[in-house]
Formats: sequence, structure tokens, C-alpha cells
Amino acid sequence: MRLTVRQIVIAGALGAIAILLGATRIGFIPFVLGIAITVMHIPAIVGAVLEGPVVGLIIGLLFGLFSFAWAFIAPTGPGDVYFQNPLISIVPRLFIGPVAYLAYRLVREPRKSALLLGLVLLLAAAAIGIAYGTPTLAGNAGARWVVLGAALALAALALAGLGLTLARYGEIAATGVAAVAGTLTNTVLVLGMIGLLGSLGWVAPVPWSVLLGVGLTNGIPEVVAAVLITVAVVAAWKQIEFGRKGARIFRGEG
Amino acid sequence: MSEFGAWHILTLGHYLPMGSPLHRLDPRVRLLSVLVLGGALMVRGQLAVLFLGLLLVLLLLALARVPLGHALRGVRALVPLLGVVLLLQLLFYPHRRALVAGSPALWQAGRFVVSAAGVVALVALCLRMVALVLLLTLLTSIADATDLVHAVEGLLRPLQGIGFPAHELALVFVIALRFLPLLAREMERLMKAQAARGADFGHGRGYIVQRVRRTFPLLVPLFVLALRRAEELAVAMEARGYAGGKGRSYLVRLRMRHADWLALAAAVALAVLLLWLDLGSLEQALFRSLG
Amino acid sequence: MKPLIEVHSLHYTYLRGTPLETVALRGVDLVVYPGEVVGLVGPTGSGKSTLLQHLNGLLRPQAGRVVVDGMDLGDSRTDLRAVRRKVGLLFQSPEDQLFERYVADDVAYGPLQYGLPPEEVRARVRRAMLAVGLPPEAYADRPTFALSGGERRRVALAGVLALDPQVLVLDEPLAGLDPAGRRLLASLLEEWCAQEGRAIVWASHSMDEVARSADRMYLLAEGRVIREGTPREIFGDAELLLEHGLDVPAVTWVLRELARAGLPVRTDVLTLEEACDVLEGVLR
Repeated sequence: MRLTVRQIVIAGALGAIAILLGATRIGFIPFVLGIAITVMHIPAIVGAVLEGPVVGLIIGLLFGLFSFAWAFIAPTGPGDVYFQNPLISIVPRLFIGPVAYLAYRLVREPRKSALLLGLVLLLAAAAIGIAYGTPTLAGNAGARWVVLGAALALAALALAGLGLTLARYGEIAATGVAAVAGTLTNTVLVLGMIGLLGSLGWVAPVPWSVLLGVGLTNGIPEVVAAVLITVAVVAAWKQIEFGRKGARIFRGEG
Repeated sequence: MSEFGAWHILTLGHYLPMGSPLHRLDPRVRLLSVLVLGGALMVRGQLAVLFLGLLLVLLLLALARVPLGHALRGVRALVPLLGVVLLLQLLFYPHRRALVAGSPALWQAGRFVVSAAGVVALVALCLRMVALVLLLTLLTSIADATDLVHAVEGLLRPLQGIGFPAHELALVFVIALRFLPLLAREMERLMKAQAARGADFGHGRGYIVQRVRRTFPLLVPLFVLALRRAEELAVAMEARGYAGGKGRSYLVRLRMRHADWLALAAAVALAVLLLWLDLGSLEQALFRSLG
Repeated sequence: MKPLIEVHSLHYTYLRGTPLETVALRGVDLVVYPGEVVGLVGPTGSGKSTLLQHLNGLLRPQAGRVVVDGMDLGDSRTDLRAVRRKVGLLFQSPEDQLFERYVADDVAYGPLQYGLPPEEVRARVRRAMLAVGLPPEAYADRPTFALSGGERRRVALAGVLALDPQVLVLDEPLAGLDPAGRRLLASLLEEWCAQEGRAIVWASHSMDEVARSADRMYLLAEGRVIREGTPREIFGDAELLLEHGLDVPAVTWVLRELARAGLPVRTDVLTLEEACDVLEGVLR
């Protein structure tokens, strides 16, 4: 895991941005009803797309460490108590970069992704098979598992199809997918960890319905924001042109 | 500067070569002690204990010969944040439960009640925030970037055996620390420059896409600038012969002396003391006197 | 002639009331009339930056008055956005502020933010781009980040010009450009200022720059105006400049030394051309 000088410095610089975003208002875009969506995870995604999974991992680590420390230094609400637990603030953030990178690579190299997706589908099928086959799960509970397995398989198929079509649009589409993947990782793992630790009794439990609600109301806008910003930044840095090839202002748009 | 936010906290304490006994400690000890004490402060919630912790930090600052004004800079950055935090904490504190547990009520407005326990918890929180910021200022005042690299690297080096890139990570931390004030200044400059063009960051309307687009004039140039500076720094480092951590020789070899071990032991002892002290009885006495 | 900008007895202290307060301005007076280029010269820490930020309302005066075309910036009711349409401020390295993918869109950002109708915005963008020597036909659809540093700086300038300000306030506008770039930008600015009812406030470290372009200048040090006058008057007083840690324009220096060595030359010379004329006169 040898890092080049360039990777080290970029990891540091983007990590600094993540911390800066967290410590000032800029990191939070106000949305309706006083909800604010965060963009602090974006440096990790950008770092992963530009320089690889290790850089993304390190930036995620910096993000997590800051999130952890800030929950003590400046707690702004009851939710911050959760972030005082490193399993919630640090561990999930480690995955943002690598997952984003993986998504980016999968879309860029469709042949490899076809192979990987085949594997995923196989696993999903196996899961369904096991669930169905176990006698104790036959009946109502069994049906639920089958539906879950089928849904997973369908989702995998849909994503595969999406990925394969997007692959034609090159780097920008791959970056967008990476942003989606990275943001979802952040949302799902953090909320999932809160739920898991809650059910284990390690932190004050939060009902799964609430977590799902927060995940949707915060998560969806955050994905949108992440895609827009990540793509804008990567396109600017790599000087990639995409979409319309000219200024909006002279094409009749405002 | 005032209308552009309280980010001063990131320009916290610069290194002050005061030559105090604390400055002369092994950098690892400096870092570890701060982490250990900081950890203890993070865990405790009792007002009296946190007060003692704050006194301890102030004492350390004096020992390090850090001038009060310098230390206060970090705290001053906290002030706007403090107001918001305290208000929110006051609202979300389980006052009713505290009343049931025996705390007297201090104020009542309709259905909303403020318990003494709530106020005490609030003051404790205040003390903790201030203590932590002062502790951070202490660290940055007694250890400069090089010290910190040596410290983090030294502490992580045992892990290098299993392929953990201790040196690289230490460098990343220090670079991030160096970039923070730089980027904070750039961000302020960007905000002002865009404001001079009529940019309006504050008042959000419209769908999410529109709101996000409104942050572009700030975020896109910030990222591009940071990446550009990072590239320049990397080239400069390579030009000076930096080639990574492998086989790197060091001019300064870290060796722990008696003073270092003593200081570390003292720090750990103090942290344990803070963790172990139970001054809850003092709080109860306070409640009774108010009741 | 009615001044475009008036600054009376301006005071400003950063972090006032804390143990870390720094006094930046101690009673500065400044006035800008239409048609002139006003130079602002001073060492680092003299308060140049602070003063510039008062001219478009980024900072509000703590004591004293700042009046822009009749609008008092000390009055909290003053609409700052209106002020910023009259006074365009360009920070150092303004090319760092570009964010749009295509040049024309970045230039259009300002006018669009002010809610101007698209047709008018298009016209302004075209005019502004022409004014900075980046013809719209060739540059409108160019990707912003692919341009050279000098070109991007001109895009940033165009962005401010698109708001059609009356006063341009520039902080080190030529810093970091190569000589050709400097000449180009300087001539573009002079051309712009030659228009009816315009003025420029030009802050710089470079004596040569100010000597060449400014009609009138202020010498700032430690938050106060030390001297005000034409470049010729101020640069003639080399002792004053040196006293405040500033340099004299190179040619002025050379001629001073020559005069000290006994040659009968004028010392109030600012440009290379003048110096050549003076020397030719002496050598004949």
C-alpha cells in the first residue's frame, strides 16, 4: 500500500476541505423544514475518483475523526451523542471512498462489471435458495425472504443495466455513479450502525422507521447534491467537457 | 469579516517556541498526553470534574508559557457556536425526568420547564467545550508541524511491521493541518469575491438542484484551488528529494528520557483521576441549596 | 465635479473588544473623482486591503463615513447590492474565483444574480468580453479552466465589468502576469476608464505600475494616509518612501543616484521614456 507523494498531499488537502466544510456553515446546505444536508463526504468521493481507493479511505478517516471530535467539542443537538461513538462516526466513513472508487471502476470497465454482477446475481440466487429451502422458514416468514431475495436480484440487474448503459457516457457518468454510491454508503452505514448499536443496546435505540425516514429525507437530496458537486469539481479539474458544448447564456437559457 | 461566519477556530494557536519544559518533551509524549487528557474530558459529564479539568488545562497552558491572549483566540472563535449549542441543549434536555429524579425546577413557562440539573449540565458542557478547545490550542502551541509528524509517525511505527503506512499517514495529517488555515482564508476570499459580484449564499429557495447550484461559486473554485496547491506542493517535495517513507533516514531520532516517561505517567495519572473522581455529591448539595 | 467616492476619517479595527484587536485604519480620507485612476500604495499591513473592502460595503465603517455616489455605507438601510453594482471590486488573483464550465456563463453570473433579463445579460456579456480583449465569437464557448492564467484573469474582469460599474477597485491587478500580459491588462483598464463617468482605484505594491497608470495617488502606512498627490510629487520624495519601507520606481532611483553623483538631471522622472529623454538631453 505504497502511496505516492501526490496521493499523500491530495489526501491531506481534500481532508482539510472535509474538515473545513464540517466546521463552518458551508458544509450544510439548508433544505426544507430546517433540515440541512451535508456535503462533508464529497471530498472522500472526489479523492477516490481522482486518486484511488486508498486516498478515499484516508480522507474518509479524516472526515470520521473530525466528526467524532466535533461531536464533543461542539454538539449541536441530541443527534450528536450518536457521533460520539466511533463506530458510528468513524468506521462507516472509511467505506465512502473505496465504495465510490469501486462504483467508478465498475462503470468505466463494463466487461469487468458484467463479471462481478454475475457473481452478485449468483449470490442473490443462492440466498433465495437457502431461504426457500429451509423448512422452518416455509410459510409467511419464508415468503418474506423470497421477496427480499427477488428484490435484491432485480436491483442488481437494474444496476447492472444502468451501469452498462452509463458506461457509454464515459468518465462523467462514472463519476456521477461514484457520487451516488459514496453518498449511499455514508447514509446507509451511519444510519445502519445507529440502528444496529441501538438494537444491541449500546446506544439509545432509534426505531427503524425513524432511521428509514431520515435516510430518505436526508439521503435523497444528499445524493443529488453529491452528484452535482462531484461532477462539477471533477469536470473542472480534469477539464472534461460534457453535455452541451457551450455557454448556457447564449443558448436561450438563463 | 463578521458577516462571513465563525471559522476562526481553524486558525487556532500557532506554534510558539517558548522553550518551556513542556516544549522539551518527546513529541510523542506531548501528543499522547493531550489525547489522553482530552479523552478523559470527553467522557466525563460532571460539572465539578470538568471544572477541575479546565483548571488543569489552564495550568498546563501556564506551564507551557502560552500567553493568555493567544489561548483566548480559539475560545473566542467558539463563542458564536456556543450560543447556538447552549440553546439547543437547553431545549432538548430531559428536564422533566430530572425533576422526577429530585432536581428542583428553576423556571417554568407554560409546559416548558427548566430544571437545575439541566442548567448544571449546560454549564458543564460549556466548560468541556472551552477545555477541549484550550487543550487543542495547547497542543498546537507546544508542537509544530514537524513535531506532530514525528509524534504520529513514532506512535504508529510499531504498526509498520504489518504493512501499515505509518509515515504516510502521519504526513497526511500534518498536511491537512497545514492546509486548514490556508483553505479557510481562501474560502473567505472566495466568499467576498463572489459577494462582490452579487452572489447570495444565504437565503435558499427552490428545489434542491437550485440550492446546490448556488454553492458552486464557492465549492468548485475551493476544490480546484486546493487540488492545484496540493499538486504544487507534491512537485516541490519531489524536487527536494522526497521519495516516500521507505528507507528514509532521520536526522532526529526519538528517544524517551526519564523526563518524558515521568510526564507521560503524570498525564495518564491525571486522566485516570479525572475519570475516577465522583463529585456527584457536590451537585446534590447544590440542588438542595437551590430547592 | 461631484466625487464618485468619498471617505472621511475612516476607522476600522479587526476583532474589536478582544485581546487580539488590530487597528487597521486610523482615520483615512480619500476621494475619487470621475475620470481618474487613483493609485493606492503602501507596505503590507498598511490597511490597503481593509480600505478597499470598505469601498463596496464588504466592511462597514466603525467610525467615519464612506459615501458612494451619494449612498452612505454607514447607514444600515443602504442597499449593499446596489452599491456593488456601482463599485466593482476585483481581489488579488481573481482568476481563482471562476467556477462556471464555459467562459460566457461565468461572465454572465453577476448580471444574472442581479435579476437582469437574459437578453440584456447577453448584451452585457458581449460588451464585457470585447472590453477585455476576449471576443465572444471565439471565447464564449471555451471551457474556463482550459484558458491560460492571463486569459482567466480577464474573464474575471469581464465578470465584474458586466455589471457596468462606475468605479473599478483593483487589488494588485497585474500581479503574477508576464510583461506582455501586464501591458495588455493595463491598457485595457485605461481604455475602460477613459469612458464617461468612470474611475479606477488601483492598489499595488509596484511603484512602477502606479507611476505609469495613476493620475493621483495615496500613500498609506500603518492605517493612515501619509501623503496624497500626483505620482510625480510623491515619487520625487524618495526619503519619504524609503522611510515607510517602500521602493522608488527603478528609473527614479537611477536618476537620483546620477544626480547625487553630480549630473544635472531631473529626479522627478517616472517612466523609462522620460528617463531616456532626460539622459539624452544631458549627454548632448
